[in-house]
Amino acid sequence: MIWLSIVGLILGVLLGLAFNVTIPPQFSSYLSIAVLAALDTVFGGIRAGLEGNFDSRVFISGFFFNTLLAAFLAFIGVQLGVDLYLAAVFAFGVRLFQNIATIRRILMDRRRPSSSA
Amino acid sequence: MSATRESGAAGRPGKTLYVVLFAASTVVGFMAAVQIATVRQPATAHGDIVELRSELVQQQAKQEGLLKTLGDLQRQLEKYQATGGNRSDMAAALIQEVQDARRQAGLEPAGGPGVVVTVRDIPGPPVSGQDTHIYDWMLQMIVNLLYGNGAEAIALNGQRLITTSFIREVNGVMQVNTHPISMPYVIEAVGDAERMKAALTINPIVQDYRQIGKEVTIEARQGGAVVEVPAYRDPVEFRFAKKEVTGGS
Repeated sequence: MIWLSIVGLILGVLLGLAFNVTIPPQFSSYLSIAVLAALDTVFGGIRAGLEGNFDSRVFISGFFFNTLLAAFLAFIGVQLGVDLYLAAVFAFGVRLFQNIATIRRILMDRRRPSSSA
Repeated sequence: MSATRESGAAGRPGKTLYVVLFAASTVVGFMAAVQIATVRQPATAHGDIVELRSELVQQQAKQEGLLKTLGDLQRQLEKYQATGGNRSDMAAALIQEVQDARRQAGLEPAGGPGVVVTVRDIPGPPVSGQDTHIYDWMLQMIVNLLYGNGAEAIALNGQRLITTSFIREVNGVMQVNTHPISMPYVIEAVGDAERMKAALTINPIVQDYRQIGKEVTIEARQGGAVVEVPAYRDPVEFRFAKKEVTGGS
């Protein structure tokens, strides 16, 4: 499942580089925050899949909602003159680490009994 | 709920999970690639070119001004250095500069080619039933015409005109620089004699004077003859205009 995600990531990066798509520089901060949010959702999905409570509706809605919300938050921050995107970076960054930590623990727990047994 | 829950007893997820996860990962990867490509490309975007160009023009103008200042200062420095550090020569150069400034301000007598404009009564019986008075603006007009046609120094009845000079009537008495003057009015102007004479001759102001019984004679002096105007004799004091304001732009 993780390998699947990694392969998907690599495929996406290759596609993006192959098409050489760029966006106006002033939107680049919004996209960066959106990428972070999407990445967080993907790891959350992996974790949910490993925990056995993956819900595709939750995942898909979360994927788009989080991405757009993060970009919107950055946009509002620019309008207000407050670095609101830092809130998104912080929130998604912390969640990213938590998700990855949980995934790691689940995988280690799963491997241990199988190797010991 | 249970229909969409893709979980197995051994944590083996369903097909939907794989598909959705793969698709989401691909999208994230694509977004990341776009972001990387955007960050990598040089910062000169399309919309900034106009801004940059105007800024360039501004900077060029600024540079031009600075170069001009530099040239002026270097010339001054050369002048000082040419004196070889000799103190008296340096003082002489400074005095020369002060003298130049005084000459430009009208604080020194001036002489050279020019015109002498005289306004006097036409001899004979006075024009009846008409205002024969010369108002201050009529003299101002002549002075203005002369300045507009190359006059460099002007004196009205022996009173030198400087930057703050004025011609006005106070209770029917004509005043220049607060000094009362009376007929005939003699305006001496140093400058381009031909041009000043031509400008005055074709101007209808001379006819206006004639209509009220005054004669305006314009005598050009050039070649050997010169017009001499005295220096401004009153104190020049500035109560409000204190200091040169530098900088800005």
